[in-house]
Amino acid sequence: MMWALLVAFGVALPAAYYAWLMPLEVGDMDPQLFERGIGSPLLAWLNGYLGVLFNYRYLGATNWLVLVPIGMVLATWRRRAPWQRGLVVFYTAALALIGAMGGFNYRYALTLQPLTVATTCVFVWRAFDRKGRSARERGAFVAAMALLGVLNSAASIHYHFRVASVMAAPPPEARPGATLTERLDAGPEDLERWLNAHGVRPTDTVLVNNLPVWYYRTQRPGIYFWCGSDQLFLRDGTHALLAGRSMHEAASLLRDTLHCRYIFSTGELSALSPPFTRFLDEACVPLATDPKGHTLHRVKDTFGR
Amino acid sequence: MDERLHFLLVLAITNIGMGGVVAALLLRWNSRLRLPSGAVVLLGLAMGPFLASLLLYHQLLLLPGRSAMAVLGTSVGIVVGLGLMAGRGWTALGRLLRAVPALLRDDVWMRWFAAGTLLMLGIATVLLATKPLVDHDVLEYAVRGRWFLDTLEVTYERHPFDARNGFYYVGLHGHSFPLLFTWDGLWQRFTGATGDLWPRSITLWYTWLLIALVWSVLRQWDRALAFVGVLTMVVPFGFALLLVIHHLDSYRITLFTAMVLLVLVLRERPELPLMLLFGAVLGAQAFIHSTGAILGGVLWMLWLVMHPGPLRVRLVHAGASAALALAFGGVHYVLDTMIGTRWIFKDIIWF
Repeated sequence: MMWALLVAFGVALPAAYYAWLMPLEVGDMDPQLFERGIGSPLLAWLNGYLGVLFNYRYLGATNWLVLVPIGMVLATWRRRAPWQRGLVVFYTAALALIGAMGGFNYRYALTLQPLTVATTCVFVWRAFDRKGRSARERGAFVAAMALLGVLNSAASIHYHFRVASVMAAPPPEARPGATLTERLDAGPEDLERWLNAHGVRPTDTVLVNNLPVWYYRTQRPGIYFWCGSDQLFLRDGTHALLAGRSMHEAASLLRDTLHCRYIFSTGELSALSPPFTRFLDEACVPLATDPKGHTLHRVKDTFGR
Repeated sequence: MDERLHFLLVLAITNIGMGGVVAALLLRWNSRLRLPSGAVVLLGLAMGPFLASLLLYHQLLLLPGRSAMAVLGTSVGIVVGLGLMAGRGWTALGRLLRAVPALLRDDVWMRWFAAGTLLMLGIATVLLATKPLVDHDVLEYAVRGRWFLDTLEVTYERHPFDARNGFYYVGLHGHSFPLLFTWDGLWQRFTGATGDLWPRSITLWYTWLLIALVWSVLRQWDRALAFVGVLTMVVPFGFALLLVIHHLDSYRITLFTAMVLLVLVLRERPELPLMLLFGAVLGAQAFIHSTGAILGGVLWMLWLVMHPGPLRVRLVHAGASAALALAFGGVHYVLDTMIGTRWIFKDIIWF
């Protein structure tokens, strides 16, 4: 009965997750939180703090099963061997640390994936043995785990396509009909030629919005910037570009103090910061957008040209 | 030299050669470690590229500004020395390799594993041919690695700012992954090749090692369970993405998992040789990523609390494993906190 309930829960929660809980559009949410899948308090717990267990989009459908052996050790704490207690303390501490420090980032949450899967598999195997269940029943349960994982991945991919289908301008890698190379290569094509074609000389300093590809593919000078936190990364540390400044003052800082006339970004990155998007609209002139969504802007001069 | 030939050369030297040296060394000492031979070989292979980065780190930190030839020569010399030290470990390694065909012939589940390996090889070929370095974090590491290559020194400063091009390194983590780009670049100076095939292959190499490690652990319970467990681990969408973004995740997760598995062995046999290996792997996985440094520290402290031995033995084990952890890269975080960027004690920015 308990095993059947576990399977039922294992099916019901991801079904609800994809059908109702996960939004397709940003709506009223903060764009960055939406992009990370933590745009509401409930999602912040599911995909964030408890992302190791419940971030179905990226981490599988059965990780939460590890809570069963953890719960059993906690319920019988005094009778447990020190190593079992230690392991539970470590796993719980790791869960809390990863959840608190960036559980929404599935790559961090993947840290515990091998341990979670191995622990769950061994627990299920031994539990079926101890309860005197047949090898057939045991096999059926672990096969259901694996099948649930496969179905969950299909649902996750379907969800990503649904999100892309309602985007006004989906990124190139998510566009319907994109080839494998287009899906895998989101980088700019021949950056040097593109910059030269739009009048950016090799000695011109460019504001680089969180795109280290600039430094990897060119030898050109840049000013590293991240619009999401409004920080310029300079020789003496970080400084705000927009906070506490009018659009005119921010443009003046770039142009007159930092001697920087151009901005290299992507539409997707810029959209994560409404103030930066407003700055691009009001204080800059769009020069070009490449097929991969990279954008080039020129800061307007003092006469607004 | 053609880029693909260069890639195969660095792969053979680093992944196979240096990994083989560490595997042979561990097998030589396995009479004291008493670990399953298969897992020892996997751990050795996992330590191969790591060893390349560690040797570079210590040289660029302690002997900065030497020529590329001197840096590479020193690394190769040390590895050859370790290979000679491995002695009869090579015989054991040879014996294990000769047993593989029989294993494949007699065990249908191992044939599934071999089929999976071939599938991985196919995926690797497609990805290396079609997926360049375009993702944010890995490009940060790549640019940092080139910076190390240009200066041939590791320094610690409050603001890692490259005045030549305005690049500011925002990474929090140990230098192991950037130094793999440096390692490839050093070899490129001799082969004349360009490109980044080898650093891009690291994710795929460690993904295969991670799968093999989990497989070898679960196989101890049941062969079919190993199949189901590995399938459950690899089917999530996040795991598929882990394959295609050329990031360091499989690198750090493989060594992190190995560290936790070592603690499970230590609970049965809290012996000094195992404790030393635990310290080395702890330092290694910490040197790759801050998550490993933090969780490794937590695990180290927990283990000392759980340690069944008397206080004196605990202190010896604590000191020995901590020294190894620092030597295997943990020292980076001490230096970064004291004289560098202040590590996690600075204002962390999420990108």
